[in-house]
Amino acid sequence: MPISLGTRYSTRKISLVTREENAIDNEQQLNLSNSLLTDLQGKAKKCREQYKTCTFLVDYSPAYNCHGLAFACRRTAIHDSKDLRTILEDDCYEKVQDNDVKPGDIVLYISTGDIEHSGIVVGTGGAYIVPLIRSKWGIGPEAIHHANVCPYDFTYHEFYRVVK
Amino acid sequence: MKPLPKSTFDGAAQIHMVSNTPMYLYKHLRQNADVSKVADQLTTAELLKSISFYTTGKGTKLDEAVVAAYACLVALSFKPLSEFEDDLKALDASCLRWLPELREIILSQNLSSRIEFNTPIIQESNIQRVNPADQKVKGKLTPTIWTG
Repeated sequence: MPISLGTRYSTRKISLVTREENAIDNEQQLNLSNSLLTDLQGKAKKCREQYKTCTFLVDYSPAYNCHGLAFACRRTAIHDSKDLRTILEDDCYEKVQDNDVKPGDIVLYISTGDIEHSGIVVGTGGAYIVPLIRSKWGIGPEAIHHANVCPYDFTYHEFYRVVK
Repeated sequence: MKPLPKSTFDGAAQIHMVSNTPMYLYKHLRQNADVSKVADQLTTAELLKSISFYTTGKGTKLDEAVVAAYACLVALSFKPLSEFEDDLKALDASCLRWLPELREIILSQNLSSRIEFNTPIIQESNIQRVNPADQKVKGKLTPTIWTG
């Protein structure tokens, strides 16, 4: 049942569990008011202007965030780092060394224990000194970008792969 | 109460849009110059009034309401904790979905003061040339830190 937050938007959770049947907290934002949508459009435009080397595929979508893209097929937004650690553990992800990264691996951007961003590796090696990542920026754009060209700090990162 | 100009929160709105976690939102709002400015210009009581205005008052109808409330909440963290601790614990705002997490961060981090270092400007004219052979320790060295 969606929860209405004033007249601006409503939210709801979907059923999302790991292989070990641990429930993962999540939230979709729905039914945004027209003025909020216009506002988001404007901010997405600013992102395009700021990050000119990135390829933007979706301007905005409040239905999912980066973790929802990487771990829940764009169906919802996940915000809690503890839930992400549960997914990594329960769904058999293993850490991958930087020099062994392959397309399809997951990158986590970590800041003082908080997994502040994640994305899917879509290109490595060759001309790409740092991997190319496809990721969602909050409720804003979905983009293909070099791992270090985005609003998140790539200094502390980890790569993961599902191994079984 | 009169709302703050919408443009005050342009930078905060951009941060809010790309935030995937409450910690990211807090950290980047705290680094935002406009949020620092709001903290400088408004008293603790005014910030609390503003949060109430944007979350339960007439300000809820404004498009920037959620971002403004988050910005004012983070601006509070620049103030002495004793001035807002009780109000923050009592704050109830369903429109701020990350309020519980931000409250926890602010209360636990307790970064209520800013430390500024006043470093004297080094110029050729004020460097004292000393022959190392003549150097003697006179008295006790006491480093000074100015806080404000």
